[in-house]
Amino acid sequence: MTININRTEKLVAALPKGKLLKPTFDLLQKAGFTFNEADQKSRKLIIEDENRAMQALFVKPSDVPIYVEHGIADFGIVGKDSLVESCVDVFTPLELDFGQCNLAIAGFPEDQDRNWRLRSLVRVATKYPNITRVHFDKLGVQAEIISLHGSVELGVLAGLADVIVDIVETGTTLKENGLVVFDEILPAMAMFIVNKASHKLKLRQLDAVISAIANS
Amino acid sequence: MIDKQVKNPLRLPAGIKDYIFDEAENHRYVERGLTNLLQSKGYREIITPTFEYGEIFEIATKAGMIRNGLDEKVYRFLDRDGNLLALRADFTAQIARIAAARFADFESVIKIFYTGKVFRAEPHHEGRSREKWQVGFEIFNEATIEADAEAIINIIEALDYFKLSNFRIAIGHIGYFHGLVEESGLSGEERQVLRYLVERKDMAGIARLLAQTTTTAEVKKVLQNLPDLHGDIRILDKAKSMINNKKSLNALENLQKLWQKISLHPLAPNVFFDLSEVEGMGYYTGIMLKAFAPGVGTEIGSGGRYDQLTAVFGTEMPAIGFSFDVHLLASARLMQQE
Repeated sequence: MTININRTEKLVAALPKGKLLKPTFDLLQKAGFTFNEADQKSRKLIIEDENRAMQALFVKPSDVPIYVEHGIADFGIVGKDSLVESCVDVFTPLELDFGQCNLAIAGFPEDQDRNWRLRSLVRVATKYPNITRVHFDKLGVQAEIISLHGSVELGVLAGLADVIVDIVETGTTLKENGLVVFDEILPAMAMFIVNKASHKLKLRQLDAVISAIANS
Repeated sequence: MIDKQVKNPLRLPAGIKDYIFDEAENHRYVERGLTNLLQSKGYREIITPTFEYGEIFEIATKAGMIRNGLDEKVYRFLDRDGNLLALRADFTAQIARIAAARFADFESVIKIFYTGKVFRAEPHHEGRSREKWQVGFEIFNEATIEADAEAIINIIEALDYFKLSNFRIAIGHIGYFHGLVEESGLSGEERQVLRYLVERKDMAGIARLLAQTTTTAEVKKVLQNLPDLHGDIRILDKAKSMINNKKSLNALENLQKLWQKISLHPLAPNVFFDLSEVEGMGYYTGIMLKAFAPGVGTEIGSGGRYDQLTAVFGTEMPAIGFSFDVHLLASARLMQQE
């Protein structure tokens, strides 16, 4: 694999599609980069800000760390849950004040009472296999990790798994399905991450963005 | 499910590659450019074995006495007598062994270079090379700022030779960071966590760690600002004004003297200082160097001063070394030409 970095003098950002996108545009605006509304809502995959000083790539949230690690984007905004799960080697200078949630273990209330940790093997359904593996290793509990791509709660409801490891924001989905949080694993929020070579090659531009955000 | 039962004789393990024709020529061009340059400057070649006893990589890792993970990436295997052998995972460890065994009674400066591949068990899912082609040099028996300057000039000239415009060389000094942590009185475990956080420039993590510790407000302030301490020569005066422990001050003064030695070079503006660069092989004891080129998302070479590594093999010899990643340099050259 060749690790490619973009070669423009412009900053290139990897922005997460979905609910982090709106606060991300607000944040970049505070740092002096305004993207017009039509572009923000269009189906284009790459857009430029009004001053043509920054390019933004729209990326699936869990892919943001990869785009940044390879230097295709100089920096990115991504949830800490996706960042930790991806195991990438990047700088993580800022935690941002949006996208707060918790990565938690959840299951049926009666399992919490029966102490699920005493099972010889715990079956865990999750979209976060790496974080889950590390966490259960730390607990010293043998786990069978079942990787799912959506609605992990169903894994427990349908009997595929004993517990789930997933993001909990308001807890509504869990409650409506009769599940409860057993344990919180990782408090998460949106993070500002930077490619290690970009940090040296576009030092001035990145420093300006980071300090504008840190002081906003 | 993908059927793994069917044998496919064409497949390759992850992280391994073939270089064919144009790519092979580009890589050899880079290798020869580097070795010719070093040879012309009086460096002499050492060819090290592809495998040897496994201990030396453990010893080299322990010489650092800090986390760096090299030890976990060594490919080990047994020979027919049950001896534990290891594929070459690091040239510097081998060269340090050779220097301790062969050059112990040499008093004059020894300048060597090497070329070849190191083998490291990088996690496959991340697509990193498990076979890295390196060309590197080492200067033994000279613990001077002149030797440090020579190393930097070698790097500048090499990158200039390949016409990589806008390359960058980042210089750090591990003594600066050691001075700060010693002054801080942090526990061994806290120091490791701090080093990891500084490596990732994780300001929020540093703030959380410092909030739990009892060190002085002055030290806390410096540690909190560490991820920002980078820039041209002026950053060193700023850093000096923030501290008064002797070890860190010494490190900063050494960097200032080093700058005087290299500042007249026309490409010196491509060199800058980054005091938060604490990442790398644990065995470094002085300056730490990393080189970057546009078009490549990771460092194209790294190195530094390691004055204690040969001591673990029985002979103390000061040394500084640097190694270039041939594949990444070759990629940077192609990017430049496109």
